[in-house]
Amino acid sequence: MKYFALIFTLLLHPISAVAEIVVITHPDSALEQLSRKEIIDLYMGRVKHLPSGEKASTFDLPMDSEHRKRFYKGLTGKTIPQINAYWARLIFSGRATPPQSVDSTKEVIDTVMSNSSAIGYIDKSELVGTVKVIAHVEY
Amino acid sequence: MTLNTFVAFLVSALLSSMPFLTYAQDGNTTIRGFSTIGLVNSDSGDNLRFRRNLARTDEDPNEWSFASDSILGLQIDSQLNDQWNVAAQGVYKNRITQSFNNSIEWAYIGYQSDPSSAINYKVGRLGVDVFMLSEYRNVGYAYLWARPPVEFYGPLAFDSIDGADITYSSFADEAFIQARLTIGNTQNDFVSDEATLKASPAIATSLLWEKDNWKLRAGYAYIKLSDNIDLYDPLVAALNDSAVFWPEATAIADDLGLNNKTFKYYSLGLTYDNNDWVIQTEVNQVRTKNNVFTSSQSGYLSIGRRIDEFTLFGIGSLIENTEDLNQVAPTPAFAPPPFDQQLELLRGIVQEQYNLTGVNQKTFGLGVRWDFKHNAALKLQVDRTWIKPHGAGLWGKETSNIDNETVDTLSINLNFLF
Repeated sequence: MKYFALIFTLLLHPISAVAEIVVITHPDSALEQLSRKEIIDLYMGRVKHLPSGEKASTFDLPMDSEHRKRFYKGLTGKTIPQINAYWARLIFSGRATPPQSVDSTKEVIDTVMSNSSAIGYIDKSELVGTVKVIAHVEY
Repeated sequence: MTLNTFVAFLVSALLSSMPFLTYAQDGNTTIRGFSTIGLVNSDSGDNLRFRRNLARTDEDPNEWSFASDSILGLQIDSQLNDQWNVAAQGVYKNRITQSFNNSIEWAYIGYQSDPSSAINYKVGRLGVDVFMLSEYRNVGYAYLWARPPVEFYGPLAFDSIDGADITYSSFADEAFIQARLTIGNTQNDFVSDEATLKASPAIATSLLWEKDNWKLRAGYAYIKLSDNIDLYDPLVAALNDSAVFWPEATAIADDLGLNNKTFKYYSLGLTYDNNDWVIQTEVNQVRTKNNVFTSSQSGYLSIGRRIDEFTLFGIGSLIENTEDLNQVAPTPAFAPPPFDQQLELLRGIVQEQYNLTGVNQKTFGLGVRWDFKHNAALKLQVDRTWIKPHGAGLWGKETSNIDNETVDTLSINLNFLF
């Protein structure tokens, strides 16, 4: 009976209280998991390839997206202006090119579904069954 | 483009609020840009005129001016296939000599055998990668201060190297490591369009180590000047004509020839950024054996504190010659009048050339950066600079004959990406 009360309490307070961004890829990708460091290296332009050696294509949500803000804050602790200043240093010295921005969560999912080396991130609540989740970023 | 249309363009570009990183993105080709609209005012009196670096023209003292800090840059990147890419960056700013060629900051073709290869090759016009900010010192949005510290970045006369470049990137013990070597030729107009410095070879190497909140950088550059400068031609001719009465004059004329003179730059930089605090320091030594320029050392320390979208910062920087400025040999006692006076006059002119390049100053600055948009930042900075006699080499001036000077400089600028 004690346990029943506990379960009841948990149901009233769903786990979505811990908000999460999920990093996703194509369901047929050989990639099963990415570590936090691997995501940082890919999204901060230090690494251009997947662990398999294949060229990685990373995608960003729009600049004003709340999920984009939370993804980078959760991953690096940095704000969007800090991330943009970081990228300005790399881009305008010709060292690396940033992830490509798409317009919406739907477009991230569509891109990931149509390109086996594509990696994107979306809010966990908007996850659809077809894509493969390879990492979780809490914020 | 006049300054007014330039400013009008910048303002309209900002107001239209082109979203950074997505503008004109066509799959494999991207066009991006950066800009600074900057106002600066120095209360330097009539003797000294502020300049951001030696390749820019100088400012009228005691007047607000857009010319020194305002910059517009455009960059095109194109990934041709998995191995090859091309990129070019054009920069419009005030310079000693405006030309299309000078406006091309860099343009290259790059090759990487596959995406996981540690080695990247480039050929073309390439950035000079010696100091922390070398490659992005035109991009105001990318750094904290109103401008790169003048004591450290002001003397850096060369913007780019025409040649080849090899970059090695790897990881060691969780740290990101990058080593780079660039070899080629370079030239730039420096102080005046009669003072074109040409260098061959120009070699730049750097080593970068990045881990967590830390970034460590070491750089070394070697340049060998490959020509004399026209500015000294009349002086050299006058000295050679005086050799009859003044035997040392020939040797002094040779000393004014910059051809084959070498410069070596050694630098070390460290950044710590934990998102609340951002601390950066760099030190640099320039070693040269020639009479016109004297070896020097410089450095700066900057401490910044981020509070929401504001960053407050303080920065101290200095530069000084590490050897005494060269002294011209005395004129002979036996020269008959009126030649004795003419020789003494000539000697004075040569000595003045040596004194004009002397550097000895320090600056303390306080400022704030406000990131009011995700692609735009406003900066406000006040600097106080203390300059010693024969130490005003970084300033525009008619004479080296200054006393100890104290100059306050106020800067306000808007920096954005598009």
